[in-house]
Amino acid sequence: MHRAVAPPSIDLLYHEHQPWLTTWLSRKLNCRNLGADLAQDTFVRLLDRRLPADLRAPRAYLTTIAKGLLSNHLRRQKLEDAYLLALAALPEPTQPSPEERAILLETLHVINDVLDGLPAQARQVFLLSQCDGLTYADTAVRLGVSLRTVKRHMALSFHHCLVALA
Amino acid sequence: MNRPRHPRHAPPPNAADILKEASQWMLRVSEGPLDARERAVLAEWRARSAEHERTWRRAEQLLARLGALTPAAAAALKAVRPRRRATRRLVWLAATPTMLWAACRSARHAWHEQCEHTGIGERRTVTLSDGSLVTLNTDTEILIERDADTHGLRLLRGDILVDTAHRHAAPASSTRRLRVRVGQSAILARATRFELRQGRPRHQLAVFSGEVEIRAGAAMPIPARIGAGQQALFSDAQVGSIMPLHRRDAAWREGRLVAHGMPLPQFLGELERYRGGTLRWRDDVAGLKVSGDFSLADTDLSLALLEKALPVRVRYFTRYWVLVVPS
Repeated sequence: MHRAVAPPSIDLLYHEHQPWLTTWLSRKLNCRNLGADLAQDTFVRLLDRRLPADLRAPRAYLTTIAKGLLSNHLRRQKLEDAYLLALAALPEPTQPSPEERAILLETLHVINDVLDGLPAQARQVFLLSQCDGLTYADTAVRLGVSLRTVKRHMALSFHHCLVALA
Repeated sequence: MNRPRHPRHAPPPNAADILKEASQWMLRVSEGPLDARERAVLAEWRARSAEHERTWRRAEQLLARLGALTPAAAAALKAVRPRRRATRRLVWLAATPTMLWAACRSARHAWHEQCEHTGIGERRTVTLSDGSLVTLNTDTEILIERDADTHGLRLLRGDILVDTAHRHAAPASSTRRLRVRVGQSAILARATRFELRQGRPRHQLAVFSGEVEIRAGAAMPIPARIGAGQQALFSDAQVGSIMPLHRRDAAWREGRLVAHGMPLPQFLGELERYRGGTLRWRDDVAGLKVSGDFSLADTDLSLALLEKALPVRVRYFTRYWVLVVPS
């Protein structure tokens, strides 16, 4: 459906390169289904951007995009695994429902991405106050900085979160 | 408390400014409840344009989601974040413990602060420079502020029993009050004996003798007074109703947990603070009430007693993972 409105060269790229890209990704992920999904995502990405007029090394070009998606996928996977591991430590009655899990995971992914874009100290402030539940005053004491600095970092973190959710 | 600044004659809204102002408001809301005036200013801000309102909805949703982060979710997030600095410190710790100890001491000295803490199941009394006694309960952390002019401490975690009563003997120091801070609030005490427990969102205060004054955050300009035989819950925004206290001391000081019709979940929550690992219960026993005198030093014994007193069975999956089920 999308391909119909895309430049014709993507069609060509897809037919020539989709099979090996799927194989390459499947090996990296140890899973044929996931590999096929990510290969598909790679081509979807192509639809959003203009192809270089002169694409001499299509494999390298595709691999670059696929690597970005792959690393993003592994990163999300790592966070989900860590969450499931933390949940496994809880006995059954206190396990969250699948819906609660999905919402929490989504929030975690957003925060994880936002944290990457923050200065190191702002990250620490965020983790101490939002994950460890310290007040801003206690966070300031813990990090040996002023309350003002803590609040400045938090305002910045909130700003980044708002942008990420926009 | 910084309130976002708004120009009196606002120019047409600009998306970047709206985001910046919204993040200031989020900061303010994350600190504690707004007062009536602040709520009015925020309502006015939201009403400025559709974009303001949309942005604020997003902000509220985000705050709600952050507030709902469970310990497991928070743990997962921390587990995947690279902790370069912590690792480096750990290596250093292994290499030169003495050096680290010396560095910590000198750093604390410069801040005029001294940290005291207890492990799980531990209990310890420290004497402040003005003669006050502070007993730290299990898993508690305090900072003692060693300023020349003020005597004070900050409760970071857990609960403490503070005794300034015996200072009557020293007239020079008895004129000065001891300041105990927790969160954004402060407790001022002179010649009293009280227990303070840090909590989220509310802290718990019980006064055994004398009288203390609570200044709850910046939102409450008038301090509340709590006298002997009274207790109260308070947050950084307000002091709850003052209730009578039916005990004359903190039982944990003698290593005991005394329960009078205490809901089982609360009882197990208490006990859990004194032992490593998790202590959980099945929903169908949550309605049971516990009464009796239990040991905190030997929590396994207390759990065995619980099996005798109530129709429950205690299942040990491991020493650190215990589940209470109906018998």
